[in-house]
Formats: sequence, structure tokens, C-alpha cells
Amino acid sequence: MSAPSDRQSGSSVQRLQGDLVAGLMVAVASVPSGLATAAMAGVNPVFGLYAATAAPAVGSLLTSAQMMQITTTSASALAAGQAIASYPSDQRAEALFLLVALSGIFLMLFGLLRAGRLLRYISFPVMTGFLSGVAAALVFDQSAQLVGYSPDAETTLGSFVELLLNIGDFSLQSTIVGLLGLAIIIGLSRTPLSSISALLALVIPTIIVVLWDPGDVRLVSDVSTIPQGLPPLGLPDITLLTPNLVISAFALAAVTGIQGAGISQSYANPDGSVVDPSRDMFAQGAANVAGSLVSGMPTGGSVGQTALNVSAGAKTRVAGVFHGLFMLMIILLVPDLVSLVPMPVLASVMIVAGYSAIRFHAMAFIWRTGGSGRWVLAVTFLATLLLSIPAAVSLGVVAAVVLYLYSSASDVRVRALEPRDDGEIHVVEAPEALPGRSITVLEIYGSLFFAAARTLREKLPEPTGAEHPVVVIRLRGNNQIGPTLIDILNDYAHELASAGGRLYLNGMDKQVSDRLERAKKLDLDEEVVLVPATDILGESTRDAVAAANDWLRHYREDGDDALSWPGSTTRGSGA
Amino acid sequence: MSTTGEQDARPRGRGVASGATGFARWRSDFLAGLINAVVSVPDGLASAALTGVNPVYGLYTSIVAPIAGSALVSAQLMQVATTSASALAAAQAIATYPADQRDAALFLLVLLTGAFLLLFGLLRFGRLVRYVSYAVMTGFLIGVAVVLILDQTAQLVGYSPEGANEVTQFVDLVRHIGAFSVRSIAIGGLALGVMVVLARTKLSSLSSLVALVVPTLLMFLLGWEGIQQVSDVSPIPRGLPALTVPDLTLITPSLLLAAFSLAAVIAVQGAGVSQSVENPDGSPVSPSRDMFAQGAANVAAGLFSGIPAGGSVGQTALNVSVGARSRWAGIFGGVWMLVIVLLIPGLVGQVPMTVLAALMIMAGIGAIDVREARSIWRTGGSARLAILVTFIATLLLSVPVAVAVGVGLTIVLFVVSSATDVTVRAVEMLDDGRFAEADPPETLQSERVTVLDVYGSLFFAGARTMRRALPRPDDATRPAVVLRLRGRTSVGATLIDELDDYADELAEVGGRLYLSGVDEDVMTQLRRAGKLELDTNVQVFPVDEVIGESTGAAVRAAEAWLGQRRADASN
Repeated sequence: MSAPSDRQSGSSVQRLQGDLVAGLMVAVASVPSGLATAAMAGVNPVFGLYAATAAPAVGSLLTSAQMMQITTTSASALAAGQAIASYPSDQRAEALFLLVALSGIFLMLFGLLRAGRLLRYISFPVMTGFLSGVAAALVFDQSAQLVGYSPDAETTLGSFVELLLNIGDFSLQSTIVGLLGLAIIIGLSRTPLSSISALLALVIPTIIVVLWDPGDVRLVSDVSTIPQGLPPLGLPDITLLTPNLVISAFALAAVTGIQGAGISQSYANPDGSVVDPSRDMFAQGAANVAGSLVSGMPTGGSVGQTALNVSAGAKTRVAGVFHGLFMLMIILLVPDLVSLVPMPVLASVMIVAGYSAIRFHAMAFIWRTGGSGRWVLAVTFLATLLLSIPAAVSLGVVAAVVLYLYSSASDVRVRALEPRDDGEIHVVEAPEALPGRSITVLEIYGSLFFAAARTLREKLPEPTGAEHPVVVIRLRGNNQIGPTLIDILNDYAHELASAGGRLYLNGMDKQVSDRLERAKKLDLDEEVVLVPATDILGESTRDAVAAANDWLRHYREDGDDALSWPGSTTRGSGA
Repeated sequence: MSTTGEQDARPRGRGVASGATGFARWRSDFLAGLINAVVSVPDGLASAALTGVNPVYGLYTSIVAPIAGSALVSAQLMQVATTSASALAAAQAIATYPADQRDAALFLLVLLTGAFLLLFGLLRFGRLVRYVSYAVMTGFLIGVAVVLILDQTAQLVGYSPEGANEVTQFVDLVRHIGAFSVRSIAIGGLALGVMVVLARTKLSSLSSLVALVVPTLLMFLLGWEGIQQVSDVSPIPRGLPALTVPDLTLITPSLLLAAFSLAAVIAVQGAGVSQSVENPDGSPVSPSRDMFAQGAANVAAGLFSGIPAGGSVGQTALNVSVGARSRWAGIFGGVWMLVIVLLIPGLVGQVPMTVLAALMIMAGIGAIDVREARSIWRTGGSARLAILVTFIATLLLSVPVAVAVGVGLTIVLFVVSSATDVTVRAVEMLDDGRFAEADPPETLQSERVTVLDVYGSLFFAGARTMRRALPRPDDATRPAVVLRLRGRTSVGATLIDELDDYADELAEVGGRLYLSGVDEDVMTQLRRAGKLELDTNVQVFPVDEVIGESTGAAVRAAEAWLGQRRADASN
């Protein structure tokens, strides 16, 4: 996480300059995305702009990831849209502000409870599938907007299929305007103007539409009128509170927290300070509470805006504060211009943003890695397109846990350790049946939790027919030792004992050996002998073998040799 | 299974099989079958009433299900009988049918449930039982036994408590001591006393029969009225069950779904029961085969006008406590039930419920494995939580829900412990050539090789935990890290991502990451993934048969590389 130190060089004036430019750029870019995400949630597009005044400023002051930009995001807009869809249209705006405030409170709570620690349970494939699914959903949804068609299907994927089946109903004028926007962004992406390509894609087609005045292109003013002046300040209307809204706010907070964590971990701080996902959750929560007070949309760490902030040369968290201030100036000075923006143009900006947020590289890498990650990725991605966002994440997490559980339960291997003439210890296949009057040293790979313990039992060599078989099992490094394993070891020890043999367990740490003793189930020092681990690798195995040799001496017949184990003068036998 | 019975935690039946003669065993099974059948009468009647159908269907079930089930089970002492859990589920499933079709729908449901259970057995779903940990299983079985005792205690004292669950019912029971029937307690207590006293005498094998007959006779001799009898639960109709062909036209998707979930309920409870009884002859128990056996029992019940049946905790405990020796006890139970229905329904109808309650209480007490519970409790940690929560859930919730709660809890605890229980250790060579493990340094040293061992699971959450435990490069230049991966057979995308991140950090300060002991499958996986910059930033050393060889090779390579870099720098 340490950044090159040269980024810290430069006077404070230079840093301020960098932050000023970056703040302006991000604010301008926030105009189209703010309008578009608000339109996506089905509310007045200006709410997106209002959110982008307070949220980035408040958020940036509090984040640990200094470059992170907290502004409107498509994921949170989609989730919010679902949540408020059931309210009558005249209450929808008020319900939205209440939802934003609640999700802000939840996020602050997550941060205080250090919920950032829970993020480790969201595996890389789940995170990738989810973020890419959100981005793909954005592209699909906005494609309909771009061609001026309103699909009726319920799911994102269904709507997209419906869209493709109804090409004849597309609005030609909308499509032309939208494609022009797309062409400008894509065309400029490889030129020096790439950083303002989104702005140009917004401005040029808007000017053309104003001059051309086609009848079939929806403008922002057709969706809603944009009020003049400062954002209206106000507390949310508590009377609209329903249990459903609380649940939606919780889900929205979870979505924001997860996405924000992905972002806060992907950009290093210029001053090298450590990133804390929990603190960033708190910051996003504060940003949402502030956003709610100025009639704003839900906000969260934005993939696109954060990337833009870094590439535009931001140096400190002050860039985010400038982002908010510039947005306020735009609203105060040029509000009428905003209402002239055609909706297909907003769609084109969002499509590009969405497309760039689909993690093709990561998805290809996960797919190639194979195994369970592949299925988890596919399930999460498809679920994001077919279900709600929280449902998709939960499904992905559950799928990952189930597959992990299954693989941990089946992936238990038993190997035998054998000293050979070269003075080294070899790891070989464990025998099917135990040899009599001799010592078999077994090494176990894999977890030994309850389900795996039962698998282990099936894989231990059988004492059938052997006389005085002795088994040494290494348990080094395995802490997941519970009653199921103890029961199974007890069973195995009985079998050995009834054949006149004995079980030695070695290499477990103090805690585990205490637990084995406390359970009072194993017949210690009769059927089972414990030889706890030492700091020296292989020492407890050697001690266990020595003890076993000593015990077995009474039963040896002529011609039986003691197992010679590499001694203290040779190299260790760790694993 | 060992023959050193006195050291085993569950010595039931062990050694007896070898000691007793063939005739003694037959006699034991014959008597056990009789007791089973008599106790099944009120159970069967009540279960059928619970389902909302003619109570005699419960008796028909108690004829065919134990015969078919016991003939096929691997857990020889397990009793396949009517259970209240399956009766309730069946009641819900057929409630939507009009009254004149309800019987036919029930038989069809039972048949389909049997078919699903047969399928579960053939698909070896018993393997799923491994996901039910020993602690959960023990907590569940003890919970069911306690429920049995609490229920039957109310029966014994002749009071019907009210309440939503076992605990509130018990509280209600205790608060109404005044409403207890003294005569009922006296008769039931006598039965209990007979069993306790005779258990230590030569008559122990007859103790339950004596406990059944003597108090019943005494009640008649004393002329005591007002004690609830079996015939008070429902009159026992005489007659034979008829073979019915199921009406397939009644199949609906929701009936199929109900049959599936009923089969799941029976399978879960049955798996618990089959694990709880060891075979007297020491043969292993197969939960899959027992699912199949319960399936066959249900198919038979469906064809002979029966209600659903499954492995019954109470009946199985009773079977064990009345001295059954083999699967014949169950088969005799079915035959005895046939005799009862045909010949002596009136006689069985006279048996006081309090005596049956006493039999069940003894069975329930026998089924509580205090030793196991204490052992698990002392083991501590998550096992303690698992057994406690499952036990309480069994008292408060339905059987499948309680098991689901226990399994869910253990899985969550397992995932959490896998995520947190990841330790990174530094391996250092001592002067005498041995290797010692120590806590890893916080930060890496410049131009030094650090060998690290990782213990614990490296699944997604574990991989992230490991990443945090790895020593940081910070201000070091050219640190080399050897990470031992012996014994890991698969790596996930999250681990690769974290390793890539670490390798990048090392590369940024001119260092390198060496992975040693890499399994062949893992090697292919790493190459296919194409994320790590193999052969430059990350060097991979395949696992060797000789322990430590791969790591040794990695350390030598790392030292050679550092030497080379130093030489380059000085030139």
C-alpha cells in the first residue's frame, strides 16, 4: 500500500491546484451521471445533482481512502428505484429522502460496528460477479433509454431481450442522438481530450438537439422540471416510514458498503496512510445523511468518479470538497442548460461508464482459474441481472460458502511419512491396511471440521487383521478440532486397541491438546498418547515415534526392527 | 467397532449378542415386539387423528411400516413408526382436498414420500449426514428425548398442559400440580418402580412386560375409575387393512412438493435415529440404506391405507430399553400389532395411558447420553454453543427446523473459524541444522530470504486473513519470501488475487515471491489463471516426495538470485 514518495513532493500550492482541477473535472462529470442515475431511480433528475453537492464534500472529509469520490452510483440508484417504486408518485421523492437518510444511518452504524471486517466473506468471484453484473445491468437498462423504448419485462435481462425483439419500435431520432453521444466518448477516448469526453458528449449533442428540435427525443425537462436556486433543505418525512423501507435502507446500505469497500481498496493513498473499509463505510453514511438533507439521491463510493479523480490529478481529500462546491455553482448558475439535455445522451454516458466498469479481465481470470470460483461468479453475475442486488450478493455468498463447505468436507488427504535410506523423510501414499507390530506415521492435509472428520475416518488405514499396529497422526497446524473429530479418533483408537495397537497424536498446539484432555473421551495414556508440538519442526513426530518404538518393544518378535527416524543431527522433518 | 465394551461410551447391547443363546435372543425380540406394538396403539391412533383421518389408519401403519422398515434397515434396532412430525406435515398437505378425496390423497402422499425416500437412499443422500456435526446430533437427540419425557410426564400425572412449545407446556404442567390425578400417578409410578427394581434382577428382560401387566391388573382389582385408557384416546376398530391402489389422478405439483418435504423431514429425523443406535452385532450403520428402508416402509404404508412413518426417536429408545436384540424385534412388533387389531383390540384398549407413559419415560431417560453431552460441553468452544442451541431449538421448534438451526449454526461457526484461524509462521534454520518455527516478523528484512509456513484454510476469507498476517515489505529492498504451500490441492481466485497483490508489493521494492511445495493441480491452476507473473515476480517450486526438499530448492534459488543481484549492483 506504500505509494511512490514523489507524489508527496510539491508545495501545498501545487497540491491545491491539483485538487482544484480534479474537483472541477469530477463535478462536471457528475452532472450527466447525477442526472442519469436519478432518472434511473424514477425521480426528478435534479436530485442527482443535489446529492453531488453535499455528499462528496462531507464524504471526502471523513474517508480513509482519500481519493474515493462519494457520489451517485447506478447500483444504489437501481436499489433505491426498487425500494420506492411502491409509493404513489407524489410521495416518491419524500420516501426517497427518508430512504437515503436511513441508509446513511445504517452505514454509519456499520462503520462504528466495524462491519468492514465482514467483507472478507465476500469472495473475489462474488465481488467481481456483483460489480460486473451491476455494470451490465446499467448498460442493458440504458440501452432502452438510448433508443427511446420502454420495455415491460420484469428483470433486466428480460427487458433487454424484449428490447432486441422490438427493434421496429425504436425511435430513430433518439437513437441518432444517443449514438452521437456514444461516438464522441469513444472517439475521444484515445485523444488528449479523453478526460472531458463525457462533458463534450453531453454538450455537443445537446446543442445539436436544441438547434434541430426533433419531436421524438425526450429531454430532461420532459422528465421533470428543474427548480431554480439552491437545493431545498429539509428533514425527511418520518411518517412515511414502513418496515419495508427500513429493510430496503438496510439492503441499500449493504450494497453501498460492499461497492465502496471494493473502491476504497483499489486506490492507494498518496501519503501512504492505511485504508480502513469500516471508516469508509462511516464516511459514506455521513455523506448519505447530508445528501438526504439537501434532497439528494443515495450516494456511495463511485468506481468511475474515483478513477476520474485520480487521473485528473487529485492530491488530497480536498479535491472531493471542491467537487461539491463546483456542483453547487453549476446548479446556481446554469440550471436552465441542464433541462435541455436529451435523455438518450445521458444514456450514452451511462452506457460507457457501465461498460468500463464491467471487469472483463477479472472475470476471464476467475473463469480460467476454474473450480468453484467459476460457478460462484456465474451465479452472482446472473443473479444480479435477474434478481435484486441484495438477493444477488446473498446468493453469491451462500453459493461460495456451500461450495467451500463441500470442498473442505471432501478434500481431506491422508499421506504416510516414511524415512528412507537417504536419511530423508518421504511423503507417500498411505497404506490401505496397517502393518502389524510396526509404526505408521500419517500426515493429514485439509481441514478436520465435523464433515471432514467423517471423511477422514473413511480414509484412515484399517487395522483389520494386523497385530499391534501403531499409528502416529500429525495434527500440526490444525485448530478445528471438535467433538466429531474426537469421536472419530476415539473410534479409531478403539479399533487399534482391540487389535493390540495404540494411537499417538502429535504436533497439536497447547490449546488443542488441552481440549483433547478436557473432553475426557479418549482413553489417554492407554489407547491414545498425546505428544504436543514444540517450536522445532518435526520434533514432536520424532518424540512420538521414539515413544511408540519404546512401547512396541514388548510386542516385537525376532526379526522386527524398530522404526528408525532421522535423528536430531539430521535435517528437520517439517511440513 | 471395538469389543472392549466397557470402555465404549455407548455399550448398549454390546457383548450380549455373543453371550445369549439363540433362543434367548428370540424371546427378547418377541417380548420387545409386544411392548412396541402395545405402545404403538395409542401413538398410532393419536398420529392419525393429528393427520385428520380415521385413527385406524395409524394402526395399519404400525402393522406394515415396522415389518418393511425393520427388514431393510442397517440400524437394526431402529423403529420405523408413526411420528408426530410427519403426521403434522401430512395434515397440512392434504388439508386442501375435499373430505371425500382426503383418504386417497393421503395414501398417495405416503406412497410418493416413500418413493422419494427410496430415491434419497439410492442417491446416497445419507452422505449429507456428515454435515450434521456430532455436537448438533447429540444436542438434537437429547432434545428429542427430553421432549418425550416432558410429554409423557404430563401423560403420567394425567394432566393435559397447554402451551405453544414444550417449555411453556412444562411450565403449565408444573403450575397445575393441583390438577394432577393421584391415582394416575400411583399406577404410573408403580410401573416405573417395577422397571427400576427389575432392571437389576434376572427378570430385567421381562421388566417392561411386568411393568405393563401388573399395574394394569392392579387398577382393575382396585376398581379405580377416571384413569385415561387407550380406548379413551380412540376406540380400536377391528379389521384388516385392505390393499388399495393409489389414485394417480390426484397428483398435483403441490402434493409432489409436500411429499418431497415430508421425505426430507423423515430422512433428517431418521438419520439422527439411525446414528444413535449401535448395532448389537457391531455391523456398521448406513444412513442411506436407512433412508431406503424408511422409503420401503412408506410405500408399504401407502398401499395398505397407512399414514406416513419414519424413524421414531421414542419408539427406537423404547425398543432398546425393552431389550431388543435384532431387527426381528421390529418385525415382531408389526406382527403383534396385526394380532392386536384382529384379536384383542378390547384388551389393549384397557391399558392405562399412565403405564405406557412410564414405559416411554424410561426409554427417554435411556436415550439421554449424559456422558457424551458432558464430554462435548467440556470440549468447549463452538461445540458447546452448537449442542446448547440445538438442544434448546429442539425443545422450542419443530424437528427439521431445529436440525436446520443447528446445522446452520455449525456451518457459520466453521466458516468464521476458518476465516480467522489462519496462522503465518516463520521457519528458521538453527545452528544444528534443525528448523524452528517462530512468529513472523512484522516487516521484511532487506536482501534476506524469509521462509513462511501457513496453517489454516486459504479459502476466500482465509486468504484475506493470511494476506494481513504476511510480513510487509515496507522500507526493505529486495526481500525474498518463500511461502510453503504443501498439502494444498486447490487455490481459489481470491487467494491468487491476494498472492498477486503481495507479489506486486514485493516487486515494487525489488523483491520476489517464491511458492514452494506446490501441488501439480495447483501449478496448472496458477498457470491457467494467468494472473501471477510466474517466472519473474513469482517463482513456483513443485512439491517433492521428500519433506522440505521443495522449500530447500526455493531457498537456494532465492539466495542465488539475491547473490546475483548484489553482484550486478557492485559492478
